Amino acid sequence: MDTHVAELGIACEACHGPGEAHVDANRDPRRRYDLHASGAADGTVVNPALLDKERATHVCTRCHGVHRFKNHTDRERWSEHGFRYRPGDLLTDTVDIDQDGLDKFWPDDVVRVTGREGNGLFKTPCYLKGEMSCLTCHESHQKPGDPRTRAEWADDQLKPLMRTDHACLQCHDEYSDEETLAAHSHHPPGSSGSRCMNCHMPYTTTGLLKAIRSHTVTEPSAAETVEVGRPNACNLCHLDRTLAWTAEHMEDWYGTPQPQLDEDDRSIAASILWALRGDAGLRVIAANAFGRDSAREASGSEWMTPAITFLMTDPYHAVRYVAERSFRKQPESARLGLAYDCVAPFETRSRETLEIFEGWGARARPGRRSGPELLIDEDGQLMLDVFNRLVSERDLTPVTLNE
Amino acid sequence: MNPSPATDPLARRHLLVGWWALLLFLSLGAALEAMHGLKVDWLLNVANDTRRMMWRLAHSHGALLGLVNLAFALSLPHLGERGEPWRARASVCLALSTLLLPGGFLLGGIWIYGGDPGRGILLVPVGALLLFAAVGACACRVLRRGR
Ligand code: HEC
Ligand code: HEC
Ligand code: HEC
Ligand code: HEC
Ligand code: HEC
Ligand code: HEC
Repeated sequence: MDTHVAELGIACEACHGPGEAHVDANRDPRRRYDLHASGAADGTVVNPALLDKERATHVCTRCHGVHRFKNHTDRERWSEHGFRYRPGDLLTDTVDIDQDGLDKFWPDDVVRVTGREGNGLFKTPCYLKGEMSCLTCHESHQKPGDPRTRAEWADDQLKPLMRTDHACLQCHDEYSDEETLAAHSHHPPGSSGSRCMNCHMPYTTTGLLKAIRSHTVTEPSAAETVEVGRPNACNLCHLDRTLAWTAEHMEDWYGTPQPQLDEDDRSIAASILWALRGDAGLRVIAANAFGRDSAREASGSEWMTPAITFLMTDPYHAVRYVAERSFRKQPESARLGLAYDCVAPFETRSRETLEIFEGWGARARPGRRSGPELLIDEDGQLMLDVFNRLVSERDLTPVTLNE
Repeated sequence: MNPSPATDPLARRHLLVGWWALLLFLSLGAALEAMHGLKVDWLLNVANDTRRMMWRLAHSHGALLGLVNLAFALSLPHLGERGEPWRARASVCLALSTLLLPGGFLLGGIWIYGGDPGRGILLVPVGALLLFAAVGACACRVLRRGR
C-alpha cells in the first residue's frame, strides 16, 4: 500500500496552509532581511490575520464548524486524499455549511454545542454586516510582551482584554461613554450586569462538561425563552426571578412587547423551571448557571441548594457532573465529602445528596429568604408539593447534543 | 633570546586586550547566569530564543578570543623578530576580530526578528575572516621557524 501523510494534528499547516514554498523561498537570507526591513507580508504562506473576515473565519470553521461533503464523490476523495480545503480558500467551495439540526442547534438555528463557533458567527450581525472574525477576539499565538502567563493565555487563546467590554467597543465605541452604556444596560457601568457579553453572549452553549458563551451575538428577550426555549441572559443571571419579571423590565427599558406567559412562568423563578421541568439540555445550562459567581451575586445562593442537589440525582451524567461543581460553592457541600462520584451507581452517589436535600427542606433557618417564586414558604420550608409537581412534569425527551 | 613580552609593545597590547576581553566577557557570562537565575523574560522567553543564542555566543567567543590574545602575546617571542611587518598586520587583525566577532553576536541579539538575528550579525563574518588571517599568519610562522 502506498500511503502519504501530511502534517498531523492542529499544526502550522492546518491554519497557514502548505508551507513548502515558504520554507524554500526563505532559505535565502536576503529575502528574509528584505521582508524584515520592509515589514511587508510574506506572500508565500497564508497569514490568517491578513485574510478578509470570511476567509479568516473559515480557517477556524474548517474544524470549529458543522459542515458536510457536497456529494458522494467528494466524500470518496476525502477518504483517499483528505480535505481539499486549504487555508485562504472559501470553505464553502468544498463543503456545505449546516446551520440546523436539533442535535447541535436551537430551533432558531443558533448553534448550542461547543466546538462549532463558526456556525455561531454565521448567525451574528457583527460578522454578517461588519468585519468580525474569530481573530477579532482570539489569537493563536501569544504575543511577546503579553503580561499574562502562558496558561492564562492558553485558556481560550484570547487577545488581551477580550474578556471585557473592549471586545465589543472595538466597533460599538458609542458605548465607551459610561452614560450611554448605563442608559443602554440599565445596570451600573462596571458591574457584571452592564458587561456586554453577559447580555449578548450568555452561557447557553454546552459541551466538554460545562457551558460556554454563545458565539452568536443575540439580543436578550423573554420571547427567546418562550418561543425558542433558550434561557435568556437576564434570567441566567437573575436566577431568582420569574420570566414575567424579565418581560416587564424589558418592556419598561427597551419597549420590547411582552410575550404570552403561562401561570408558572409568572409565579416561579425561571431557573427553577429549567432545573426541574426542563429537558436535559436546559437542566445542564441551569446547573452551570447556579455555579456562576456573577449569577450568585445577583440572585443570592442559599435558596439554590434543593434545586442543585436535585440535579445531582439527574439521570444524565453530564448534568450531575456540572451540578456537583456548582454545589461545591454551597456551604452545605462541606457535608458531602470529596468522594461524590457522578458516575457511581445510583444508590451510592445519591444517599448523601438526598440527605442534604431533605435536611435543607426540613430545617427551617431563621432569616432564610422565602418566596413562592423560589418554592420556599413563609416558614422557610421547601414547598414540596409544587416541587414534586414540576418534577412530574419534567420533559423526559431523550436529548443528544453532539459537540 | 628574543625580547620578553614585557618589553615588546605589541605583546603588551595583546596582554591588555586579552585580559580585558576576558574580564568583560566573563562578566557577560555572569550577567547571563544571573538572568537565568531570575528567569528574565527578555532572555529566556521561547520567543527570545535567538537572543539567548546570540548572547551565549557573544560570551563564549569573547572569552575564548581573550585567551587567544594572551596566547598571541606569549607566543610572539617564538614567532620571529620585532619589526617584522607581518606582526603588526596579524596584531591588528586579531584585535579587530576580538571586537567584531563577539560584538556582532551581542548586537545581533539586541534587536531580533523572530528566528533571525539583527543586522549586527553582519559583523561576525568580517570578524571571523580577520581571525582567520591572524591565526593563519601565526600558524605559517610556526612552520617557517620550525624548519
Ligand atoms: C490554530 C491555528 C494556527 C496554528 C496551528 C498556527 N498558527 Fe500561526 N497564526 C495563526 C493566526 C490566526 C495568526 C495571526 C496572528 C495571531 O492570531 O496570532 C498567525 C500568525 C503567525 C505568524 C505571524 C506572526 C506575526 O506576528 O505576524 C507566524 C510567523 C506564525 N503564525 C507561525 C506559525 C507556526 C510556525 C506554526 C506551527 C508551529 C503556527 N503558526 C501554527 C494561526 C495558527
Ligand atoms: C466577540 C469576541 C469573540 C469572537 C468574535 C470569537 N470568540 Fe471565541 N471566545 C470568546 C470568549 C470571550 C471566550 C471565552 C468564553 C467563556 O468564558 O466561556 C471564547 C471561547 C472560545 C472557545 C473555547 C470554548 C471552551 O470550550 O472553553 C473556542 C473554541 C472559541 N472561542 C472559538 C472561536 C472561534 C472558532 C471563533 C470564530 C468562528 C470565535 N471563537 C470567535 C470571544 C470570541
Ligand atoms: C485542524 C483543526 C483546527 C483548526 C484549523 C482550528 N482549531 Fe481550534 N481547536 C481544535 C481542537 C480539536 C480543539 C480542542 C483541543 C483540545 O481541547 O485539546 C481546539 C481548541 C480551540 C480553542 C480552545 C482552547 C482552550 O482549551 O481553551 C480555541 C480558543 C480555539 N481552538 C480557537 C481556534 C481559532 C481562533 C482557530 C482559527 C485561527 C482555530 N481554533 C483553528 C481544532 C482546530
Ligand atoms: C468588528 C466589528 C464589531 C464587533 C467587534 C462587534 N460588533 Fe456588533 N455589530 C457590528 C456591525 C457592523 C453591526 C451591524 C450594525 C447595523 O446593522 O447597522 C453590529 C450589530 C450588533 C447588534 C445588533 C443586532 C441586530 O440584530 O441588529 C448587536 C446587539 C451587537 N452588534 C452587539 C455586539 C456585541 C455585544 C459585541 C461584543 C461581543 C459586538 N457587537 C462586537 C460590528 C461589530
Ligand atoms: C443588561 C443587558 C445588556 C447589556 C449589559 C448590554 N446590552 Fe446591548 N442590548 C440589550 C438589549 C435588550 C438590546 C435590544 C433592545 C434594543 O434594541 O435596545 C440590546 C441591543 C444592542 C445593540 C443593537 C441596538 C443598538 O443600540 O444599536 C447593540 C449594538 C448593543 N446592544 C451593544 C451593546 C454593547 C456594545 C454593550 C456593552 C458595552 C451592551 N450592548 C450591553 C441588552 C444589553
Ligand atoms: C451578569 C449578570 C446580570 C445580567 C446578565 C443581568 N443582570 Fe440585572 N442585575 C445584576 C446585578 C449584579 C444587579 C444588582 C443586584 C443587586 O444588588 O440588587 C442587577 C440588578 C437588576 C435590577 C434592579 C434590582 C432588582 O433586583 O430589581 C433589575 C430590574 C435588573 N437587574 C434587570 C435585568 C434585566 C431585565 C436583564 C436582562 C436584560 C438583566 N438584569 C441582566 C446582574 C445581571
